[in-house]
Amino acid sequence: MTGLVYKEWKQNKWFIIGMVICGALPLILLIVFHDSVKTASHYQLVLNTGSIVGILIAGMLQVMTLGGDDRKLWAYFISASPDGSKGFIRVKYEMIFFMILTFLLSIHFFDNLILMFTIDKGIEGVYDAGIMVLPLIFLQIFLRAVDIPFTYRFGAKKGSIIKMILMVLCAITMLIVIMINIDDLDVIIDGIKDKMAHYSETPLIPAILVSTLTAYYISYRISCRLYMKGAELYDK
Amino acid sequence: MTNKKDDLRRLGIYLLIVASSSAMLFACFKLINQSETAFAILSEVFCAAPALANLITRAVTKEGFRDMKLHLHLTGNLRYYLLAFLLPLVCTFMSCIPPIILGGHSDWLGGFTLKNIVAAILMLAAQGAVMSAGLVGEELGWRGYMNQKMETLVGVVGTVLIGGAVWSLWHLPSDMSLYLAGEETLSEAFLTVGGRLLFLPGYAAFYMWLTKKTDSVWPAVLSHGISNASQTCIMELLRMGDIPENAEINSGIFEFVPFIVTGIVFLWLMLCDKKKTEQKN
Repeated sequence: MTGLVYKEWKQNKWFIIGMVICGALPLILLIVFHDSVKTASHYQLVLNTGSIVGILIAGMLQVMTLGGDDRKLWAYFISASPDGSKGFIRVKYEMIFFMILTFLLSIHFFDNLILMFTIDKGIEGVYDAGIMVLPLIFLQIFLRAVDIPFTYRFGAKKGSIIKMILMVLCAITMLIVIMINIDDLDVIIDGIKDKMAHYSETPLIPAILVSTLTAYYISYRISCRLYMKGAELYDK
Repeated sequence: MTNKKDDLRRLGIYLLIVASSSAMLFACFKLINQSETAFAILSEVFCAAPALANLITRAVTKEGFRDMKLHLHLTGNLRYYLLAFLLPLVCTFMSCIPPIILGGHSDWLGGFTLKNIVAAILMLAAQGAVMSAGLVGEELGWRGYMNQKMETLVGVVGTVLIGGAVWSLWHLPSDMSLYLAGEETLSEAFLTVGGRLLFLPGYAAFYMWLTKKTDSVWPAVLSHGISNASQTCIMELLRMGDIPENAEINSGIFEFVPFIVTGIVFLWLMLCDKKKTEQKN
């Protein structure tokens, strides 16, 4: 198992270090635009934009760690090793989860740093982006839970195309549902906002977050089952 | 013998670095009071100090980076992870709620409805899985390094007591911060320090047991995260009920009982395990 961890580190260390840099993106934006960032709303904009762009880039880097392993020879070799393909997939899942946590810790630190900096400068009314980041982190965990089985079943290229087609189909379905309920849309959005604001008073939001973690585990089990089937389709 | 000498030297270097991190906060107290940014940076460095001390000691003494206990070891150990999640929650609950009921203030517990409790536990589980990772900065040092070196020198009981005391005293800068800021008397500050010295060895025994059973620091990390978050969670539930603003929730010595009992139970379990291993050999 240690060997597999070492392999992942050697192969993906820059992507892992990239998680820290993605978390520091709000600070990088602040340094780049320090001349034009003056008011509380400017700081908030930098904080929110930096956090969202950071999350998007971090997600991209996490997916990129899946590339390079969709080779027939590697799949046969690893399935014959003592850890087997299950061990390999488990280390991959653990590494991606670790990357998400690294990003979360990094963004939490740098957001807090900017917030404290605004307090020192006497700028009031800047809020922590953490409230927005945490749900997006769980969304990221869910998206990885979807990404990984597709990549292992169909290979990195084919898998991403099939996943994109499914995502577009989901988006179209959601759009149709929204169009049908267009008159009640405000009521639905207000309801969601209310649930988010009082998440501790209803088990719904916490249950969704816990099911995201469960989905990640189920995704691992699915990937274990699909990996050898997918290996037949990989290049040599 | 040589191993013991090496361990003593390594432990000494480790403790020196950790103590320096506490001293650093005292030395920079004026700066911390003046600048929130300095506080944010120094407090993060302080929180990561035990892990940094682990890495620095290993590098300085050329010990190498093996046996860092960073593997999750989930297979076959899920029950320990579950216990790591549940026990701090039960301990915090038992340290707060029975004293309220015995004090005749059951009406304060209006927020403890089934719906609220389920929501709070689910939220703790979700947050614990991601947010507790920050505590690897502490656990990688205390459980991942200090305990290993200390156990060969002073045995299990010594490690729990001395290690627990070291872990408690490392928190001195945060326990004394209100006194240093002039918002608390010295006796109040000492009460906080004394309280920590009473309850942290209990957790030290539990975390040490978890680390030994799973050969991983992650259950201790999770448990530490849950123990910190469960205090906020219980307070949130109390606030949802009909609790007066100036309500006194601390119940004196009684609030430490669950942690002391936990400490004794897990210390006994570790001693039993040790005896079994010795008999086998």
